[in-house]
Amino acid sequence: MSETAAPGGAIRSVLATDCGSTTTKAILIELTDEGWRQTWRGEAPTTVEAPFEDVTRGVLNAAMEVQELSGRQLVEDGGIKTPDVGGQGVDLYISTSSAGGGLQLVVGGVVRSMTAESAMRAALGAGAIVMDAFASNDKRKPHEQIERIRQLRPDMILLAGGIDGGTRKHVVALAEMVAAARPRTRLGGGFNLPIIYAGNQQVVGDIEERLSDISDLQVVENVRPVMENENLGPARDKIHDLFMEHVMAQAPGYDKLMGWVGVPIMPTPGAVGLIMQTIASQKGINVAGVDIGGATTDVFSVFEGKFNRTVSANLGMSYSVSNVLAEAGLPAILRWVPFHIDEKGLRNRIGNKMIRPTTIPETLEELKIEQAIAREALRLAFIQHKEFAVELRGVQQERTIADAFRQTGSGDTLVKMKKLDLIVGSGGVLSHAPRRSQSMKMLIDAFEPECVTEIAVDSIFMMPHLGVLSTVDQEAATEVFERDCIVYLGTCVAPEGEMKTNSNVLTVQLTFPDGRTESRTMGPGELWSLPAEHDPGVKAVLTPLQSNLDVGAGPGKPLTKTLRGGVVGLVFDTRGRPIQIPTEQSVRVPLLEKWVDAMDEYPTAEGQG
Amino acid sequence: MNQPRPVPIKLAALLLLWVLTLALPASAATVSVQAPPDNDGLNLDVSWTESTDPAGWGVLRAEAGSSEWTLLKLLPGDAREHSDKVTTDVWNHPPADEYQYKVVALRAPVLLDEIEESEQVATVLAAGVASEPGTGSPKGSFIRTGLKSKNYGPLVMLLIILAVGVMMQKFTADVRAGKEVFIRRIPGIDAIEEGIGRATEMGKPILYVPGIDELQDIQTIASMLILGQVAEKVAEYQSDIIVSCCIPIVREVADEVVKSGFYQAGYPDAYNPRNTRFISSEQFAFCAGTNGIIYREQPATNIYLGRFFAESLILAETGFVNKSIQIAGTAEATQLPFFIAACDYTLIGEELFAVSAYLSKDPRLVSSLKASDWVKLFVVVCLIVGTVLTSFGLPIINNLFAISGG
Repeated sequence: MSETAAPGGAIRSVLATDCGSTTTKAILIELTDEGWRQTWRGEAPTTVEAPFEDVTRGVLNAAMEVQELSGRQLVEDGGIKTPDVGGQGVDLYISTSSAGGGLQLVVGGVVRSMTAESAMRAALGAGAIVMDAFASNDKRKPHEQIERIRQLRPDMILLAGGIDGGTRKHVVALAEMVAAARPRTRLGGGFNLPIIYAGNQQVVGDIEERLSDISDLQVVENVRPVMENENLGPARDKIHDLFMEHVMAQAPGYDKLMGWVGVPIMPTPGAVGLIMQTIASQKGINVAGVDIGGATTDVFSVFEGKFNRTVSANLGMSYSVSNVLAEAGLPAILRWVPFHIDEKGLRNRIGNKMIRPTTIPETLEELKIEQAIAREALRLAFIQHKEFAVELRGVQQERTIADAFRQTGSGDTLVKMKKLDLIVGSGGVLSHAPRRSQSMKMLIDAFEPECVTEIAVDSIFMMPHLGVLSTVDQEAATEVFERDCIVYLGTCVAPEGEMKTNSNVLTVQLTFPDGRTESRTMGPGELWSLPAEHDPGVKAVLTPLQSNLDVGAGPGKPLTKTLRGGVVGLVFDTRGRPIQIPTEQSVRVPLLEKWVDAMDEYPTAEGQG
Repeated sequence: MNQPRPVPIKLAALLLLWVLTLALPASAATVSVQAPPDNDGLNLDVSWTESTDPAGWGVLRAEAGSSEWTLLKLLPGDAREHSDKVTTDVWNHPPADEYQYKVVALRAPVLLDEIEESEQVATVLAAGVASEPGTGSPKGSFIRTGLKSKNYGPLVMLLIILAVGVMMQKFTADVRAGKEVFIRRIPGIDAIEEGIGRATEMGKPILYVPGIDELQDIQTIASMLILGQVAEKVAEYQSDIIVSCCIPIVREVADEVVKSGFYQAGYPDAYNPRNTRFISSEQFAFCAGTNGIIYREQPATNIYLGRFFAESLILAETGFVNKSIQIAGTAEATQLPFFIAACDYTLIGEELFAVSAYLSKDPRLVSSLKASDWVKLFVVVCLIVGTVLTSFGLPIINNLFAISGG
């Protein structure tokens, strides 16, 4: 460990790095007269692989860039200068890492939709990529499961199964299957693969008997001690510990980096999840976030305090772009392209992107196509997330006679769009869109928010850094998140409910802070955007004009609320849920152009804007 | 058929006869008997000719070759026809091959109120001039198209049966071709697999009760079909299932069904015949025995599918106290409220019969389920339209479905 100021002490400056697969990003966070601010940032190529094979080289390069820009000395004697003495050095150095593919786990449980799912939630919540989930009902023969584990070579295995005092034979069978596979670590080395056992505590002896010789077995509390509750914390913490001890220790240069940091290095997605949870709990809101990358798309949500994360490993904007095409289908992507293009042309352009994944759009048409693909990638990733973020299955229900004809099943999604307060987008296609209105419209089209929902993007992908910072100083992390990390785009208002297409949908009456008023009655299929400040917001009276439509106060009831704008402003969307788009290109393109114009998404033909 | 016995003639009747014969027509009527064209084989139309109207007519019937006459009706003097339904109970009194009818012209209206019923035929015969008997055979026709009754019921039924057959063929072909046939989500059925999963995680068995009725009851048959699929799923999860039976023969069939389920899943060794148990044929002894299983073996999931009576609430409450997930299903309307209140999921009425198709996705079962749904929809529409039309005096739909009568 370095000589950093102790976590929780009087920290005045923090250097945070995120070691990605290709780029190491460094930001400087300082306590200024205005409070905590992110002041400078720098980046450099990651140096995990040959010829350097030392991650700290990239870290120092990124820190040097920040040093040059800020004038604050950050690098000293081939390391990060700590603590902050007279404005030189920093009090705390923290880091996240997703280099080398991040943390890759295999999980196992007895029943796929029960303990195996709980184990997946624990692993994903810790920021891992779940390579596969084994269960006694996954319809694979034991030899197939063994072969698969041998092929995968994960960083660690998380085994769950059975409630405390529950099944023994299934859990032991699972352990025997793993023992038979004799899995090896991905990064090699002369140590045993870490296996975390978080299942039925009454069979720990049986598990130790079978696994302790062939692995570094760690026993933690059961992820599902009873059917009614999960206990994911101990398993997540153990994953973090083992990530540091085993995975990071094996990666080139990480042993040195671990000595520099003030708090343990976290997997990047785990840190993003942490800041999401911090923001949701501090503001008392429901949040959904998405990080769309080149190969994968991460979706996070915090609803009623329950955090969930999913990784859509085959949905991304460069390496996985053809997978988006395969999963969504060409017509689904085509429906978002606001100009005339034939299917063959679109398919070729997507294919070109796949074989040249690092290219970025050069023409306006390419940008429109890229953003059409992004809509589908985001939409599919969010659907997968909604299917995973569900209530626990296998829990006893209590009924009354009133439930006779409305018996709901268990396993309903936790992601209730009407209760969603904030959507945060991240990733190149959202954060670096030429116009913020494009980001906002992509998020509206993909997530289809209902009622009143604020929308924001991560300005420079600072969330991982702030996630780690939140473990040390929640206040500082929240302040920087609000002021520098998040860019509020505005608020989307969309009535929920089946819409009649032959009558008006919504009346909007707005009173701006300067006393100016504006009102409008909207019909079906309309999009209306107008600028508005985030603070102090705009007072709005929203009146649904169809009795079954709900804007947040109940079907048919008017809602009075202060709507917060942003760099885009307020968007009123009466296109219905799901958004209705004609299939006929001659009808669809003019409609899409109308919506593009409504949000001033792209420059006009005359070159305006 | 009524079997009139010979009637003694009393003095009063003889006096009445003398009075009535004073105004008789000069000649006896000529009787003809015909089966109507839209006949279901139970009707004969009797008509006769006579130039002058007597005071009244008596219509009598006897089976061909029999002299045991039955008085059918007393009619006014201007009547010349009568439609007779030869039997109203075709199962116990099937119609004869041939009937003979005769009419008796009466001098004055016969007052039969004061005469014993058994004397009526003799009284009427004695009071007038009887015609020669006319004979006729009732003839049935499957489709009755006669304008008189406008009864299209059998034709409509035929068309519905054909339509169901065509639909079943189409849906079967669709399912076999891989086309997705939408079946409404029924949470109670989805919960069966969830319940098996719960039992697996908890290391406890699943209790299955197939009702307390005999095997031939349709609900017990449906329950046995479902048991096969539940047993297969239980075997896949390598868990245990206990079947508690009230009827010995049901136990035998259930045992075979469970064994077959374990074999189908590829785990024949996991099948345990001791887990399919006959408890008692007495309703409450069975109930007590099954409650004992719930208390002793503490199943994680209880499934009650079949025909239940008063034991339903006792079983379901015991299971609830044991904190089991409970899935019930019965077409016994009186027991549904108890199941709904005490169980996690309840399959209401016909949902019980949809489970098998829902779980197995067998093209034949799915297609029959879809076809019967369409028929139900058709019937509901007919009920609504028929009610409205009949309310406005247009019983068109009623006539379409009328089968008997005429």
